[in-house]
Amino acid sequence: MTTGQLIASEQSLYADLVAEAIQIHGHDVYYLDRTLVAEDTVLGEDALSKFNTQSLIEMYMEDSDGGYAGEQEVMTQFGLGNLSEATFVVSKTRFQEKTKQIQIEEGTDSTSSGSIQLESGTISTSKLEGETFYILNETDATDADRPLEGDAIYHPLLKKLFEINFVDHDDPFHQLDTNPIYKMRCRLFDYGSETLDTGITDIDAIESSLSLASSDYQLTLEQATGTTINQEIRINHDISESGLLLDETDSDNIIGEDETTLGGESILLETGGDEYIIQEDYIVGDGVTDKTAQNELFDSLDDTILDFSESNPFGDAGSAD
Amino acid sequence: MIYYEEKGDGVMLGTQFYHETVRNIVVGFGTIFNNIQLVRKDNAGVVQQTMKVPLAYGPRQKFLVRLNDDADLSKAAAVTLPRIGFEITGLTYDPARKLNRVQKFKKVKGDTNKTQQLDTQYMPVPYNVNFQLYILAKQSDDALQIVEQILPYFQPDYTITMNDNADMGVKKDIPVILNNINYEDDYQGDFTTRRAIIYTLDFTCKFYLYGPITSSKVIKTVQVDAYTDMPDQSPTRQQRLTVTPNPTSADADDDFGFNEVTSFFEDAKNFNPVTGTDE
Repeated sequence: MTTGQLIASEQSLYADLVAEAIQIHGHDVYYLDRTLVAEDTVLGEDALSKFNTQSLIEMYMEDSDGGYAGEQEVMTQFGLGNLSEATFVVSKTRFQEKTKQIQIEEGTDSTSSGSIQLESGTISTSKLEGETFYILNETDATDADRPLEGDAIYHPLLKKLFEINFVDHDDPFHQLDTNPIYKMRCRLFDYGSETLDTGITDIDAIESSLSLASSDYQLTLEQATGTTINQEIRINHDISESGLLLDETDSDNIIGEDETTLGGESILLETGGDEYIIQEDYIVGDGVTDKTAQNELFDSLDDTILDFSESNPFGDAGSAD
Repeated sequence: MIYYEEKGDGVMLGTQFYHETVRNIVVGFGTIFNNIQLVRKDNAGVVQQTMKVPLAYGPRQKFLVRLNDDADLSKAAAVTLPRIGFEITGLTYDPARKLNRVQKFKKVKGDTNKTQQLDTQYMPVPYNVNFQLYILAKQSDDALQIVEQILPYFQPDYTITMNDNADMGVKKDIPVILNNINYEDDYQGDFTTRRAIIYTLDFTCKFYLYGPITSSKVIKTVQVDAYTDMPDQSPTRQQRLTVTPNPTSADADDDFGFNEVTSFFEDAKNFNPVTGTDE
């Protein structure tokens, strides 16, 4: 056996041992890939990032003197902040196995999911080998198949979402001429209303509870199916007159948009444009349901504190009701 | 009409009063910024997200913040962004707006339960309260959207009208002056250092602080006794002039006249102000 073969064998043993140790001492966590949606190439950021995929993989969480590193819970002028940091260790081999998997979409309600489609043409049987056919993974993993900065890790036991700030690929420093792990320096996710649609209930619930996007609360009128009518706005379609919110003839603030092509469209405010009705559930700082902010609380308190008998030509702060 | 002060209503330190003026300024200041909306668009320019930026007064009891924000320890993220916080950074006397200290506000029937009274209050004292408003964002574009929606209103001041002394029915225009803007972006350094984009806006609110309100009863009778000798001769009253409002039920802000009665005495008695009778 040559020296090269010996080292390769030990490298493999080393990687296997590390992977096994992580499986024994680590936890199963969800690795979430970030999908860029609208990268701003001027300011170098993407505010609409999505996390739509997840992969369950074991990682070891490095202990930092008995818990998280970083400042942990702190009080700031913005309220409660949690600046906990953590280092996750993942086996390079195990991680790269995950990146080579092909995930079949679930669901059967559309042509784009529930099946694997060829881009065009037909399968040539001459290219298939043997009697059992597999979907081939991509070719050998490369250094590009690594955890990426900006991706996220959800720890189901801790119920915390971490963002990867830096992936350390050379710690420990190339023992046995290789490095079988990635160390991911993470901190708790600064949540900016990113879409979390992973299919994992606990993860998706983070968006439900923390997102500030009012678009998540907007109502639209149900689409008609092939009829050409003005649609009434009702609380419940099954109830006749008692469910009617506004009559078409009211010329009031809310109207059902006139038919254009197929069926009704969104409920529009009279000012037109892309406006929607927002449900009352959208509450930002009313002092009762949401005590983490004070927007609606101030709006309520200002009724007696500010004088609204005359309007400010440069714009009014607050409202009288 | 003439008024007299009730005993014990003198304007001195130690008289309890609290008009919640600074508290109301906090609410008024917060109201200016409580409805800032931001949108996020995709690369085609279509709005994908609309949100109201949460705002809160920063200084609060720590345990309440912890309990309100993460009582069940289930908060999965570090912080929700963007956010606006603000706090008072100081109070200073503003000599440029000093008012005549002996003038008074007067208000009749300030308390509906005490219809026959006059409330008076000395001129308020001009003070400036300094606020710092912090805008924390995850993306530069979010922060810029917020800042750009604030700055055009301040040239360099924006004025709100406040019922800053509701007890006396006083309204004041309170200019809120934007002094300067600081910007902090920790984008440099190693990758593990947290990047925080914080705009800090310094404001000054020019407001007034009010002293205690003194309540006086309406004087219904004025009585003057006249004597024909000097006090050292122990004279007795000879003539009395009594003035009463007409009608007698009149209050300070009513339209009323006077009844004047002149009486002459030969009974060698004097008025005892303690008992209110002639003795």
